[in-house]
Amino acid sequence: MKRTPFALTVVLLLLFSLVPLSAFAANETETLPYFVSDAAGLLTAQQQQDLESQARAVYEQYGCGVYAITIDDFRKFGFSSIDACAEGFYKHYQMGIGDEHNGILLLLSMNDRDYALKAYGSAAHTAFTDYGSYRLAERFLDDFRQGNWYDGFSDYIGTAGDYLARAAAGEPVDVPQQESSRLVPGVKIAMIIGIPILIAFGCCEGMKRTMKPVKKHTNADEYLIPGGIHLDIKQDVFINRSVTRTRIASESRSSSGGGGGTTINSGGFSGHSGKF
Amino acid sequence: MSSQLTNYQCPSCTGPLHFDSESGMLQCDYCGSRYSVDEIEKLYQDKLSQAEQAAAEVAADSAAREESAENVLSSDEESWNAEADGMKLYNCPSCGAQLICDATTAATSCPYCGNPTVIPGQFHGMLKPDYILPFRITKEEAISALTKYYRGKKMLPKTFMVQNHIEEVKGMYVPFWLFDGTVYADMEYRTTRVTSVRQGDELITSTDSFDVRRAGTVRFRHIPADGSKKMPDELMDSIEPFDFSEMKPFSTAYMPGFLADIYDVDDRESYERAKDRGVHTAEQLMDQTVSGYSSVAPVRRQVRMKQEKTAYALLPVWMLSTQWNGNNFLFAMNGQSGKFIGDLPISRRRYFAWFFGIAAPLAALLAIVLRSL
Repeated sequence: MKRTPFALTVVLLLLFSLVPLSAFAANETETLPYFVSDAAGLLTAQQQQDLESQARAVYEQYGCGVYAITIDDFRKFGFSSIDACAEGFYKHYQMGIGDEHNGILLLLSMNDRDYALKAYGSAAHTAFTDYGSYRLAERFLDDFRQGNWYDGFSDYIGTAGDYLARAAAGEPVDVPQQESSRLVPGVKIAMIIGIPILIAFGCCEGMKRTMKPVKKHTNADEYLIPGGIHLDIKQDVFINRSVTRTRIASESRSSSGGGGGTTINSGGFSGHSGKF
Repeated sequence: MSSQLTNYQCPSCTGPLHFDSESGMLQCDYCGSRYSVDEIEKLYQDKLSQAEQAAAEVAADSAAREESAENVLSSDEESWNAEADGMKLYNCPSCGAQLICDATTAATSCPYCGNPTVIPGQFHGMLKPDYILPFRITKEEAISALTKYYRGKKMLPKTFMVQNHIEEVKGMYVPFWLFDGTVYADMEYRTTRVTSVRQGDELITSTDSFDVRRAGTVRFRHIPADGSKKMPDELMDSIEPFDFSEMKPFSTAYMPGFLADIYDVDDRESYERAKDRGVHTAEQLMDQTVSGYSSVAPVRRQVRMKQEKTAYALLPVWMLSTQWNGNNFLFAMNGQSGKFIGDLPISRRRYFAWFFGIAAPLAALLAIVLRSL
């Protein structure tokens, strides 16, 4: 991929606003000149340059493209979902590095605040496991929710670089390795000491109680007259209702990590999507 | 004063009679003859009337009685003075020995001739119990219950079972107040019911709030509270329950062979304990009717108990005391049901032996399991 000297915003606007829907439909391909393409206008020119530099450094070090694209609405491009849009862009603009087109794309669609994080190529699938993909999203979603676009993209590129480094070292970010390593020093020892102490203390206190059974009675249940309970008033009056909505994406995230590894769809992509 | 004491004697051989818990009859210690309570009551009716009359006279002439007491005391050593308060002097009708008893003693046995002795004068007027619940458990059963009680107590010092010895076994009729009453409860709660529904990747949680009110009455019969200062309240509570359907109208004929006290805590004072129990139970019953909610917080409790009827009864209790390592251990047994209770000493060594005996293998097992993870 070569770096072109044109003004980024102009080019991106041309790319993303003038590309006809028929181009995607006809499976035509183009080449995206930048790693960071801000068609939604979230970043300043300087910020785009900085992010472009960061992404390029990652590419040069690990041979994997880390892409970020912002658009107003994925529907304008004829896609029914943000996932399909991200995958469509990736293929259409021939993203990725090398024969396998290794890379990861973060696509933001601002109208409904949708995002999609898609990885392609074996090197990217190794580095960005299902679990790792969600952990990576956690790093930038907080910033995006608060409108800190530059920080969010910077975290995305930086963390993606870290994950690629972990994968290169043979320890990609994935559930089993991480959790078992957590147990080793602290938690294991605490469990080995703490749980038996708690159980033994509970048992001994139970036995101790049988030695001191003499207690003042506070109840008179045994002296109730049969049929002597009369309920004259039994009112249950509804006052109000409050409703809260909680996203449960994070739950599926943690549970999906249980088995570890990367799930690749029929199009050759892994990753996930959501809202920010 | 000698006329205030009664020895129930066998009509056949004049030997002392005692109440037999197993048969529910009065039995002669010498010839073994047995008599029903009714038979003995008839025989001793006159004596009882005389005793009650004598007690009434004494009560009416309190000044004279004090003077008389002073005369008795003046003949004793000065050291007796300090302890004389709350004591009474009687003459044993069998051997003539002088018996010094607590002012509350109503039945005892003569330390010289061993004959069971009842003081009917103690049950005069307001002090006369309404009911008596006869003993059903024998002394032998009470003693063997103590040994059984030790069994399975894993923290009991080993030497306790071997070295401790029974100091005293007393069958006692303990004065109890039995309260009937109705509790009026009016309670309000703030409750919530939480439901959650999953829609797509959202969890929609609805919290409904309610104002809940419960009001009603709860009726109690015979809530007991002991009327004796000597008896620890906790111990008397712990041997409950008694089956009050077996109570008999009071008669001293059930008492020979047992000790008995009259009350020294009046019904008004005892009622507070019974009331607390009744109110607490009524509150719990009302709470139980508030169900099907995720959270229940009481916001108003207005509960009062109306005392309706009070009965005075003597209830059967075996008291056993043992000594070990210089400490006394008191046990009580329900003389009707046989329920046995008492606090036992705890061996520190055994406590820690059990503690490490449980903790160490568990820790080893956990270490093996966690190592493979």
